[in-house]
Amino acid sequence: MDRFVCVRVVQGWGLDLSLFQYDWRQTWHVFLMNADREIYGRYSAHHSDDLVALRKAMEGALELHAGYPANKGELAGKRGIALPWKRPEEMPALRDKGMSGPVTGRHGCIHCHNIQEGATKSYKALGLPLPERVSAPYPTTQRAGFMLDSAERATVTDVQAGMPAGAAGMKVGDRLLRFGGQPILSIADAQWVLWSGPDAGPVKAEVDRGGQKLEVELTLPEGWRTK
Amino acid sequence: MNRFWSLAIAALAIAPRPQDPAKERLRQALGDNELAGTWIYDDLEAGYAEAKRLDRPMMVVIRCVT
Repeated sequence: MDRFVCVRVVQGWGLDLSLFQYDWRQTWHVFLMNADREIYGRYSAHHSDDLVALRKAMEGALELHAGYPANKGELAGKRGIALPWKRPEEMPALRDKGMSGPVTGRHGCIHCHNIQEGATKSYKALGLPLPERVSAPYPTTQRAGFMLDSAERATVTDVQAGMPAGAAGMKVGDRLLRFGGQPILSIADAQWVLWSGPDAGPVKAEVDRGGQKLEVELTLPEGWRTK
Repeated sequence: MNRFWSLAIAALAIAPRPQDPAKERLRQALGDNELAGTWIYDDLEAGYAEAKRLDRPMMVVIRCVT
């Protein structure tokens, strides 16, 4: 860890939502990134006790950092997608909660889950259609028909026949190198690709299968986020 | 979770890091003591500057203190 600059963020107030998009329902989330605000990878609280997985994600981040800025183009998809609000306190639903400033004590803080709730309520308050990715946030990879081993940096442990991953030819043991054109360091990264990606359509994956790099293309059907 | 933070502290073993006084007051108000003096506390801009200065990647942990 001494090869990283470690920053702890304890509140949602002022958080740049164009950058820090993650599963806001979680109380603990990690961004591996650089000073230029380029994100190398995400790691989530689903696996908060899995130090092996976090260490491997950090090792991957060090590899990406060593290749920066030559690899800057492949990191572009890891930034946040366009949202109506730049910061949580700009959401109408959170303004109404009276969160008028940065936290100074144990009360009045914008917590991560406030951001998810705030986004949902704010779309409704403004009469805007609620995007599927807001109503069904941060889908697991099971929705695309595959599961990953948290301890082995996105290695496939299960593939469901008849689902997009099975139909695309993904296999158990495949190590997911890239997904949606992005390098994958963790399960959270794969979830990010699904969350930020298309509501329907193709998503390419590059896998390492027994030392051989292969490309498979998943086709996400209409309504895959909620079915 | 506690295992992670304990190992984080042990692995660092560095001298206390100077903090913005306002952020140090916030840390004390929240009673958030596990990483006192070792991590940059609730100050992303300071993190970006330090990462730029040292040419190191960042690990930004977003964790609400309740």
